[in-house]
Amino acid sequence: MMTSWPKFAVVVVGVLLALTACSGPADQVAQFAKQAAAAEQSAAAGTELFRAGKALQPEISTLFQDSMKELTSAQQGLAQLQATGQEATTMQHTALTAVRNATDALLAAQRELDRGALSAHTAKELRSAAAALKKAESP
Amino acid sequence: MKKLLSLALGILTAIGGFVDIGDLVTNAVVGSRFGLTLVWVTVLGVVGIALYANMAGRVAAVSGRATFEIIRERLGARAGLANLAASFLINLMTMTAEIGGVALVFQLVTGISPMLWIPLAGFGVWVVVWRAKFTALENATGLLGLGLMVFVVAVFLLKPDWGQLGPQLIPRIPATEDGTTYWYYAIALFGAAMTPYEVFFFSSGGVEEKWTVKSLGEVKANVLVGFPLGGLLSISIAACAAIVLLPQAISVTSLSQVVIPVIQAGGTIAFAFAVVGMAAAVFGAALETTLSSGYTIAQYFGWSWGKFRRPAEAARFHLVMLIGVIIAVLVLLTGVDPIAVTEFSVVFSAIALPLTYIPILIVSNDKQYMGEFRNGRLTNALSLVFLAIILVASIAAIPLMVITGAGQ
Repeated sequence: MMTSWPKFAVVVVGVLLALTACSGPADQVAQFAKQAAAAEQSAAAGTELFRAGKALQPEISTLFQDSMKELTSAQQGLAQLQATGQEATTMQHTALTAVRNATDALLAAQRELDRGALSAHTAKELRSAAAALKKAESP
Repeated sequence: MKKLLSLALGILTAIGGFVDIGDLVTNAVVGSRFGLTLVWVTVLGVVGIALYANMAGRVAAVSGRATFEIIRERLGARAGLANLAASFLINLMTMTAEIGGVALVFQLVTGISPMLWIPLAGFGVWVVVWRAKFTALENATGLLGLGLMVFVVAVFLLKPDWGQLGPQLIPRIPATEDGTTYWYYAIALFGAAMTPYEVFFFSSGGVEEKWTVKSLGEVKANVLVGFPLGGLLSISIAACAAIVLLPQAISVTSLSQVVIPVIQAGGTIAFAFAVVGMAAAVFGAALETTLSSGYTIAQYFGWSWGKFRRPAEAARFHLVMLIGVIIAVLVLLTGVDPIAVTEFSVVFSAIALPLTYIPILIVSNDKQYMGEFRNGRLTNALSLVFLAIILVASIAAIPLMVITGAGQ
């Protein structure tokens, strides 16, 4: 027979598990899209600061590397997600496409930065990729 | 005049030494997600750490002995050991985060992977702890840490809409976040402000600097002026993130994002100040946590300890620190994200808070050790209120971490 403490612990763990399981696939897609949008947005902000002559190459290069890590993590999370239902599946597909486009834009920016310059076109691409990710956060 | 200069130096060092990687990251994360709605937690944490650090400092000045020596003697070996185990592990986690933080700051300046900087940062910490004098390492890092004042300047240079920023100071849960995440970060922020190592270091540092009853005024000035001004740095980091990053929906996940507002405000010069300040603050905290690991173990087992002794005279104290640094470096070399270690370390600090602060309250009320300098009624009343807050934070930390997926 269980004493009262183990019973209490079982109840607490049960409640916690129930609470953590509350977010559905659509919420999770939104969460990954949000993570990727924040990363792309910070890369875009860094690009503009670099273009304005305010930031140095190593800092922006680090910012790009960190953003890339976040994008990769979001992409993996989205790819592994088992979305069920039409809405969640469409959201997942849209978000994955947006993350891939954002990754391409960031890679292009990284290549430019390695050559010591960032163009206005690149800044615009990063901003529009971030906007697409923002859009992918909601159905 | 000399005394006044020493007092000013102590206060400046307390300001510059207040912020560590936990404060840097947590305040920036919170500012970028919750604006200034959690500033009240920082204020609460600063009052709490000032209250308890003052007590620990007073114990050191009056008894000439540091916290862990007395905890073991007063609470017995078994209770002392439980306290030691929790405190040492949390401290080791914080040390790992700080050494990782040093590597991340160097990455910002050079663009070179932190994996290359981690062993060098660990080696640097060990050499300084081994060779440098206590006051030299404390003053150098504390004063250079004042470079972080650039965050305060940046708040004004960014010319925020004060009318919009002011109302954010009212505690409330933003529409974009849920309640559990808000409270999770409230606890993280509280843990970052009241990190236990700060008290171990403060009290052991008092013994290193040979504080006596005559030093009580200096202790009070350092704590009551230095810590709140240090807290102002924390709030300005959150404010910078709230002004620049929150409107762009950039939630902070890396150190490279923390400096974006400063760069936007003052360009490369401001960035240089921020980097010097961050490097000094984080390196200083790495030294403090390394020393704290030696202090806690050596004081519990009654070994010879302290920087005021030659390393050969405190061999086991130095060996503990060396092993601690090696463990921290090895953990970081597995590829674990130093920012993630930082985020976990502040939450686990919150969990372990009662283990650090209850014994301090007991000892500082002990007539045998403190005589006429034991706590007054007002201090005890305030301490008990904080103890209640600390207990609630400690109990709620793990459930909130599970529910929110560590603040996701």
